[in-house]
Amino acid sequence: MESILNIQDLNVHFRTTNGQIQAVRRLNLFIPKNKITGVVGESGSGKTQTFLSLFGLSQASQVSGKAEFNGVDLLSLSKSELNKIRGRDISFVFQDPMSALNPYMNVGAQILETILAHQSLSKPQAVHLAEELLLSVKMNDPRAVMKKYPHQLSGGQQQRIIVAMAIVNEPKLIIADEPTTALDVSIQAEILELIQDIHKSHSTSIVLITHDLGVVAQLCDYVTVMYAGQIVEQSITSQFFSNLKHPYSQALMASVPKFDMNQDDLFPIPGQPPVLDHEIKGCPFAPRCPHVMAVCTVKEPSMISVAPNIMAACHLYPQGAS
Amino acid sequence: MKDIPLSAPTSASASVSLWQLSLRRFIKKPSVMISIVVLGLLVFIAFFGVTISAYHFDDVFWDAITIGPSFEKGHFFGTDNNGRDLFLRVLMGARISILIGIFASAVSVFIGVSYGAIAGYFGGRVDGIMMRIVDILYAMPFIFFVILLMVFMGKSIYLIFFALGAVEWLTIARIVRGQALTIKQKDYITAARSIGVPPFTIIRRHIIPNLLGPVIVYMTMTIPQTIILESFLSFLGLGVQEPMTSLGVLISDGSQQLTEAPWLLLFPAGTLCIIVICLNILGEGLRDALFDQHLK
Repeated sequence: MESILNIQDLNVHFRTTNGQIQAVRRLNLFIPKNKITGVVGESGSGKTQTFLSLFGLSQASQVSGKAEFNGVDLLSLSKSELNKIRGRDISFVFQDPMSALNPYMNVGAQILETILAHQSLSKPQAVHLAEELLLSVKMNDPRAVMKKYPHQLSGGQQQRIIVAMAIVNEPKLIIADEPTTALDVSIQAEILELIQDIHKSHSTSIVLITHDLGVVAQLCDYVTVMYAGQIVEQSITSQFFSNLKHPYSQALMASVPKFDMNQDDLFPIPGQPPVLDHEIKGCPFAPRCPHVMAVCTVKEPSMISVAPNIMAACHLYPQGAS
Repeated sequence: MKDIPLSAPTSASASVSLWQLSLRRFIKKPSVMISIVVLGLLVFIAFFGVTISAYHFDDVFWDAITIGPSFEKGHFFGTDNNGRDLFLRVLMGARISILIGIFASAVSVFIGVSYGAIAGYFGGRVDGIMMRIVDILYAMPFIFFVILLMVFMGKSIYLIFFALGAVEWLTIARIVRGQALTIKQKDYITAARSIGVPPFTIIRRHIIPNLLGPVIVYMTMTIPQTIILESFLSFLGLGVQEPMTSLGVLISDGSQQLTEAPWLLLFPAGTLCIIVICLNILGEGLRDALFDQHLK
C-alpha cells in the first residue's frame, strides 16, 4: 500500500510556564494514499498537534523526526518551501467555521485569496473558478454568496465554504480537524457527505480527526487511535469495531453512550490522561488499564501486528524479541 | 437531500460588512449626529471662510485696535492689540490645529499600526526587541525630544507634524501589538497560514482589519490630544510661529491679556473646547458602535 504521509519518530514539544510538555512522543504513523483515515482520541492526546506541527502551523517550541509527504521530508523544508506546499498539496478544514473565516473579509475575497496564492490566474478566471467551486459544494447562487460576509451565513454554509477553500487547489491531502464538532447534528451529516463526495470524485487522501466514533464507522477506511501523544492502535475500519485490540480502544468504545442503555450503564474511563510534562515510564495507559500487568509500568510496548490489518501497542499481545 | 442545493439566506440587504453595521449604529445616535454637524460646520467655515473673506487673517485695522466683539464694525470676535480681526484669526487657528491634529494622528496611526502588528504577529525575539525600542522612546521626555528635533532640523510646521506623530505612535503600537497577539491565535489566521498566504499579506489582510476598531477609537481621542499638545508647544514658543497662528498660540496670547481684553482668550478657547468635545463624543459613539454589537 502506498503512503501519502509517512511519519517516523515525531516529537513535538511545547515550552510552557510549567516546564516542557511533550505533546507528541516518538510517533510513527502511516497515512495511506487515496483513503480516508480517521484519527481518534481524547482531547489533549496530540491528534491536532501532530498534523499542525508537520506543516509548520503549531506554536510548538521543538518539532523533530521525519515525515515523508509526497516524496519530501516535511520537517527538513524551509518556511517558504512549506508555505508553497500548504494550500496547494495539503489543506486544512478546521473545527469551528465561525472562527476560521475572517469576519472583516467577504467570502469571495477569502476564496480568491486561496486560489491566487497558488494558481496564476487572472481575476475573472479566479472568480469563475470560485463560483464553480461553490456550486460543487452545493451553495446556491454563488455570485451572491461571494459578496456575503461570514456573519451573514449559517454554520453549515460557512463550513461548506471552508471545505470549498480546502479543495480549490486540488490538494493531495486534506486534514479535516473535527470538521463537524461545532455543527448541528443535521448539518454534520451534510458536511460528512460532502467530504465523502469529494473523496470519491477527486480520490483525495483525507485525514479525519474526530472524537466521534460514529463518524469513523461511517466514513473512514482506516482508524488510528491516539493516546498521550502516541499511536496505540491502527486498524482497518471494517475490523476495528468488531475486533478492538488495545484496552484503551475498548474503553473508548465502552464509554460511548447508546440509545438502549441505562444511565447507570455508562462506562467512563477511570482516571485522567497523563500530564505529559515528564518522561513516562512504560505504557502511558497503564494507570487506567483494567488489564495492567507488571511489565506495563516498566517497559513501553511497541507497535506490533496483532491480527491481519491490525496493529496495537500493548503487552497483552506477545511482543517481538526486542 | 443529496441533490438539493442549499440556498443562501435571502436577507433584505445583499451584503453587509461588519464595518457597515457599525456605521449604521454609529450615525443612529443623536449626540453623534449633532457632533458631526457642528464639527462639519466648523471645519467648513474654517477652510472656506478664511478664503472667501475680503481680508487676510493678518491684515491690521489701524482704526480698531483691541476692541471688543462688535457687529457694527464687522469684527464679530473683536480685534487683538495689533488690530487684527480675531474671527479670521480663530478660523485660521482652527484650520491649522485641525490639520495638525489629523495629520499627526494619521502619521502616528500609520507607524503605530504597522509597527505594532509586525511585533505582535511575529512575536518572540522580534517582538521583544521592537517593544523594548518603544519602551526606550517612551522614557524620553517629550519636550526634550521636540527641542532636540528643533535644534537639528529648524522650526517648521512639518516638524510639528513629525514630532507629535513620533510621540503618539508609541501608545498605538502598544495597543496594536496587544491586539495582534490575541488575533493571531484565531483560527482564521491559522487557516490563512494553512492556505500558504505569506506573513506580510496575513498582517495586512487579516490582522490589521481585525484590530482597527480600537485603533479608530483611540485615534478620535488622539486628535484632540494632539491639538492640545500643539497648543502647549506653541504656548512654549516651540510650535507655530507668528504671523501664522493656531488655537494654542491664540490662547496663549489671550491669556496674557485676560483682564483688559477677555475676548482674546474666550473665543479661541471656546472654539478649542467645541472641537475637542465633538471629537470626544464621536470617539465615544464609535466605541459603542464598534464594540457593542448588540446595541440597536
